[in-house]
Amino acid sequence: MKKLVMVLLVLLLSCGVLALTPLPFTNIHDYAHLLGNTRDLDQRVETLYEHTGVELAIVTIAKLENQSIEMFSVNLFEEWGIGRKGEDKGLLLVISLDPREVRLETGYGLEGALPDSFVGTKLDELVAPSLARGSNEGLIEFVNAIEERIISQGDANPQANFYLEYDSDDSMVTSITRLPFANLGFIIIILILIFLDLRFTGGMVLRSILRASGRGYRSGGGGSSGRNRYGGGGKSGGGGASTKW
Amino acid sequence: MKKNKAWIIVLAVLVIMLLGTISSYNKLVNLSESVDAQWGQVENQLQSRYDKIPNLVATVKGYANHEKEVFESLADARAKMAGARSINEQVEAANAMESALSRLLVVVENYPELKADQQFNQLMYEISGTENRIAVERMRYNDSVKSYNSRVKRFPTVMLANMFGYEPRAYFEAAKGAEVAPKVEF
Repeated sequence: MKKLVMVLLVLLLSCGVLALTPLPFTNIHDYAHLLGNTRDLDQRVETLYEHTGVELAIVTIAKLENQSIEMFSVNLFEEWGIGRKGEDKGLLLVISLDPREVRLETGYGLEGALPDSFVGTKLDELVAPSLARGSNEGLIEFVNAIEERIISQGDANPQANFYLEYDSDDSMVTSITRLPFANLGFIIIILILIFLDLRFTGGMVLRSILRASGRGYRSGGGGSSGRNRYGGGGKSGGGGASTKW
Repeated sequence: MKKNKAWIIVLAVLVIMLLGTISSYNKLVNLSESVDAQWGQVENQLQSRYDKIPNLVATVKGYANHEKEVFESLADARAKMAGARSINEQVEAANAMESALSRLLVVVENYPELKADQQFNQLMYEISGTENRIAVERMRYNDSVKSYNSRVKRFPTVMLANMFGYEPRAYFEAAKGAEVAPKVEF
């Protein structure tokens, strides 16, 4: 009987280890509590997505156990399905405390825009020293560098209502603007729907939508939107770089 | 009338058996194709390693010209790779190259000026990235071989496999101690 309980316990524990599920409504999955206040970082990762369509997940983990950070990253990447299937434009930043290592895993679709040497150099320059100081600033600068690079390599696919302005020979992005009236038609339709809802159901639909989105924002904490993250089936093939911090 | 009924049942059973055979044959073909496709991925990465070696050797030679032995074993492994045809030969050559590379990385440890070289650092990131990609694609190749082989060896597919000449495939066994991609510490 005792043995059976032990076996069940071990099974339960191993399930917990295997099923590392993404936290909802955020881009930062700070399981090891290394990053402190991640509000700004989360926001920056969200704008990376809006400007380029690239999904970046940041994960911290206390112990790597018996696997390399490389194998951990490639498996987690596939398990979460970061980026869309076929496009594979996802990124996964893994920070481990024991050992003190950090790795950026690039999805298949970003291996061209972000060569390993670029990723490695930036990790050494920006991320590692910042992590050693216990600050998130280097991480934000790292996201800046990645965004700049993806845009200049022509791999950016800005999300709706963002607009990239290129210079005369299409090689450099000179500005990123949020289009003010891109959604005018959409807004008018929504207004009509709200009007109909208020008129005929007394605003039932509106109230339930507001309640649902309110929940999403509260648990987000980082202030980013409640969009669905990951699960797109994106894959990586071991591209990227790792370093110590 | 009774005789007719019996015939219909026999016919139905035959049709069901035929359909079952076709579907398991198709599965076998699919698995075999995915093994081939996955091997293609492995080959791509082996090729990319092959292409990166001369550049690396040139850079290291600038600082450590007298480590002839290491450069020779790399050149040998590279020649072996170029001449390899079958999967077995390729695996053998890849493993030889892996051990030559890791010896080079040990040598590099003795040259601090080399490790401070910006270009060398970038090269090292490219090389260890490629090593890691090889490790990943090798793992996926072995996974696909595993599911193919277990189908080929299992009854009743084993009869079909024998009939159409589907043989179990070889795993890509990594060289000892090479399960983890080499990492350079700066």
